[in-house]
Amino acid sequence: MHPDIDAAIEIADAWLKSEGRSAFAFQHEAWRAYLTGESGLINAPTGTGKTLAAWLGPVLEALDADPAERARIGRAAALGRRAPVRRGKSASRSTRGVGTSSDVAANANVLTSQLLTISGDASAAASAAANGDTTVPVAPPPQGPRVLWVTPLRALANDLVQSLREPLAALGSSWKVEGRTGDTNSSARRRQRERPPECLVITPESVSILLSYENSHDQLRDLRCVIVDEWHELLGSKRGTQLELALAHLRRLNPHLRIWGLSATLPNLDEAMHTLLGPRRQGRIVRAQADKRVIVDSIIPHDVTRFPWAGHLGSALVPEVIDAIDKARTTLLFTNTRSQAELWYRTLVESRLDWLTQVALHHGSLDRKLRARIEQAVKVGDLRCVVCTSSLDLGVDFPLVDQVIQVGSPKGIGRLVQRAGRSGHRPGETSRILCVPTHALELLEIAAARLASSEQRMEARRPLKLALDVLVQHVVTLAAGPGFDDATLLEEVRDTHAFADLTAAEWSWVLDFVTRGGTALQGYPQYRRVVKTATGYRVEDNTLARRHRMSIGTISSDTEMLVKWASGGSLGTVEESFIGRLRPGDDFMFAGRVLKLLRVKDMTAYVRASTARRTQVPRWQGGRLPLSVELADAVLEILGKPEDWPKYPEMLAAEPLLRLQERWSALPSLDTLLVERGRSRDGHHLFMYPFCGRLANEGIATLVASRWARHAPLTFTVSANDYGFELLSAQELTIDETTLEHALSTENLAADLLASVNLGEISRRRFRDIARIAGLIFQGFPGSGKTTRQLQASSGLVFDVLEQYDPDNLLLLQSRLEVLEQQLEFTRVSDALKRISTRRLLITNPHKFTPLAFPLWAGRLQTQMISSESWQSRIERAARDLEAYALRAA
Amino acid sequence: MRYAPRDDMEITLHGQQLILHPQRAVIWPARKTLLIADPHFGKDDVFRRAGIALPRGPVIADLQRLTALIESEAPERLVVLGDFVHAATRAGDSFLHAFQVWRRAHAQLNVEVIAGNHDRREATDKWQGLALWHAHALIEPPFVLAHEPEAHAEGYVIAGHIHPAVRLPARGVGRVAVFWQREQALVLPSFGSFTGAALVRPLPEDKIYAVGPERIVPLRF
Repeated sequence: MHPDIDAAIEIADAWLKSEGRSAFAFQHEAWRAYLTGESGLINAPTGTGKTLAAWLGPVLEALDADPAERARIGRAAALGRRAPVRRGKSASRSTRGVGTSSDVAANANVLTSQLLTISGDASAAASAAANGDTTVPVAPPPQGPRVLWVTPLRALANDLVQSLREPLAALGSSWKVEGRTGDTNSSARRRQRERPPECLVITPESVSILLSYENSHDQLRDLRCVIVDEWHELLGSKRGTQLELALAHLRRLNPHLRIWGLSATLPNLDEAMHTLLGPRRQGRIVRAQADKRVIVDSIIPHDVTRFPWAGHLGSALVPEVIDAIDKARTTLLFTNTRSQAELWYRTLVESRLDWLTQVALHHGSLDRKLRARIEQAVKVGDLRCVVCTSSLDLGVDFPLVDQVIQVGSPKGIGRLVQRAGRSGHRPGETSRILCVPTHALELLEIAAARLASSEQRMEARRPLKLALDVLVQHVVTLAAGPGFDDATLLEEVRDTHAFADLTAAEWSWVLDFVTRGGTALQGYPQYRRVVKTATGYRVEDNTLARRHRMSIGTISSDTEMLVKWASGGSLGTVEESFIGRLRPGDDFMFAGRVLKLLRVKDMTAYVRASTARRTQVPRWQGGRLPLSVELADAVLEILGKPEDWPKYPEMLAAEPLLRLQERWSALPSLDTLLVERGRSRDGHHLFMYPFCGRLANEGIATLVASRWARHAPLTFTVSANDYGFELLSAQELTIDETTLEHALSTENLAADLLASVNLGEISRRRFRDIARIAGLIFQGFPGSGKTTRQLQASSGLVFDVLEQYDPDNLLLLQSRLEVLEQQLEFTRVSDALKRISTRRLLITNPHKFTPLAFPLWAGRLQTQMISSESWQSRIERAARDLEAYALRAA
Repeated sequence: MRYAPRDDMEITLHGQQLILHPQRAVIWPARKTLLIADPHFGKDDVFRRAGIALPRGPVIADLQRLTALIESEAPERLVVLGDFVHAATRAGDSFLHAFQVWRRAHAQLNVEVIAGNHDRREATDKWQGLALWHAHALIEPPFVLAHEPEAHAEGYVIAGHIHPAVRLPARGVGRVAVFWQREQALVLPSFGSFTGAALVRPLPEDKIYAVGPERIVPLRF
């Protein structure tokens, strides 16, 4: 074996032992793997010690590598038994706030505190000198950090810094750990550049920003290791692609760079690891043995017959929820959307006035400082309940949270497990989640979630491929930084999972785009972004470089407006499109308050408190995730087996409704596709239930509608939910097995889907993100005032201009592909249609809206129109409708 | 370039016949005048200078639309109701060159510009012989031609500045640019094809004319 490695691991074991803990096997495996030079992925649920598993490898190695450190460790081990206790130093250390090591010292026995005081000195050199040990050579100070700890949430950085610092002193490491995120102020950044800490806790965006400085290579020369926390959260997003590119660059700078990821359980862990490490590299997957048990409970409505078939708030169960909160110490109440969170917060506070100061609201649009205050309050147990959204899916550990409530279906198994894991946050403890259905059909989803989570049927996360907007951004980043040579960079870019298949033509388009604006044939006068110089491709204009750095962080954000009190003080941000629909004097609900809009100026909405009762709640975009394939399949599986229903209290509760569905129409199952036809005052309805999740159902609906509308001028109103969709038309259609099979055929699927999209203008909307990432729109920032106003244009306008004058622009193509894959879930639609072709079509003609149809009919919020009529004629029809409305009103 | 359909709309305002044109222009036949507002010429140049890769199409297309309007309506005078340029032009802007060429082809036309807020920093001497610049509104009874649609003692205002649009309640239509006839001013939609629009809330007594791709559609709210 490796005696050095064994010795290093012994140091860690000794420390854990002194704390009354012992290392898990997977931690040993991870440390050993790191110390032997491996990279890999650690798969462990939250609260199982995965942070230590990843962190101690590099820390122990540094102890081992640095003779000064080793000398001290050796002495610490020797002195550990009987050395004089220097308590004074220990105390002064803790007042400097080095994490919780003061708690450690307080709790541990005398032996430990001796070890701590002696080895836990802040500076190795100082310690060596103080002990009279002058023979140890002092290594030249490193130029930059040795470890980058990448976290997807910048709100987490501070907590991570604390927990990474925690073991250092006890292990005898002199390492410094500091945060580097969008929140780090410029003086701290300067200090970090001059005296870099050994470990920087950083977001993916800030890694890119590091690369955008001219001296980045000097800064990163000593980097040994990058650890990516919550990699499953980044995987499948453009932030993940951004990080892949940055890692490829870092790997070329430091060929021995080790990369480790931390991930929750995914069925495609192997793919996740190779995406992180680079496609050509070997790695090790380290698995924690114990998968945490998750117990899924639910609140069953007493009277299911009076329980709504469709609805949003789930207010029918408010008394039961209050009761549950009352019984627990600290509750996290998760909702699926920010709007729902706002409503639940109001409801709780209004029902229990005595809880006014004990209930808080937390979601991604609220002011960051406010959120941090709330997180701190939960941590120390000052709050009874926090109503939150996915904003608290990840993040700070809350040891005092003993109950998690999920309002509405979790929509995915991974999400359910993640949220459940927010309670019982200790190795070995069980996680529990209490689900609150908001309407009757959600009972099914809860039962299905229990079935699927007990069998670990998690959703895969697929990494993105060929996101050219991110590549454009990365290329400009490097040009703004040290500059690049195109051949070398191409090789580096292809060393990522995302761009392994990048063609030479695509690459030269990217270079043309950043240097010339368009293709070589099309001169873009006055355009200069990246310039080819004798020393490589560079951004020469400092203003452009600065603006680029500002835009790097915007990869995931939407155009948001600051919400501020007229009297001063910020409340958070809200999407511009929502404020755009209000006018001064209107009331709306935000941050748990009712507000009156006073005026809008320079990307800021000024408000004051309002006393109005009826208000609008902002509908933030993208709040609703579609039902996952795995969960949808579990729903169908249970539906198809009525004999198993007695095993699930939820199914027993839902049974009367399901029997009604069966009586009026039929029950869907894994091997039938249910289709319902009917007519009403509104027109002719077609309901179909593929159970593919809202987006894919919408995709199938769009496809069917546009295929039918191709040969005759027809107009459909399409609405979809997670179970199925409705097509409503004024004209009667022949709907039988033949026409349905034709409409659901997989032939020409991509082309037909895209053709339907062009009608729907979705790609124009999709283009917004792409335009922002690739630097085609510059939004300015909330509060940044007028300086950038001349550069503002909506992404829609830019899209129109490109479509008309540069139709071959690859970013337009990308927006269509993204619509296809992400908006219409092409893969899922195509898989679904293949499966449908093996399923039996079951066409029924119910006389009323069935329990499955009713939510579609009642909740036509997400409707869109598929029409082969021209835009002009639609405007004219809208005008006629308005006339008719005005006549009726008069 | 030719736009085939021209289903324009005639209205009478203060005894004067005005034609609202789907190419976002107003024709005032009595004065043989073509009115447009807010072309924001050169906006794409401004973007390209800032490192934002936009093709040069919009300028040329907007000048071509103007050409087509002039050929079909044969006005003697073109009045631009402000925001002629998006920002002060600079030597080398593709718009400057394109406009000079365009101007030579329409040498007989009188071109007048009423300076808008975006024109403030433009050096007007650059435009000598090309366009007549006015720092203030033009009083041409019964109308006042201005940039900002504020009530004016000397007459009914015809102006731009706002880029008005409304959202139609029908799905699949979305927002549509409009002529907005208010009590004291007629507001034109922006002429420039690379300009945004602002949603307005008309009062019940206002008249709204939506600009369809082919025809003007009067709306009543």
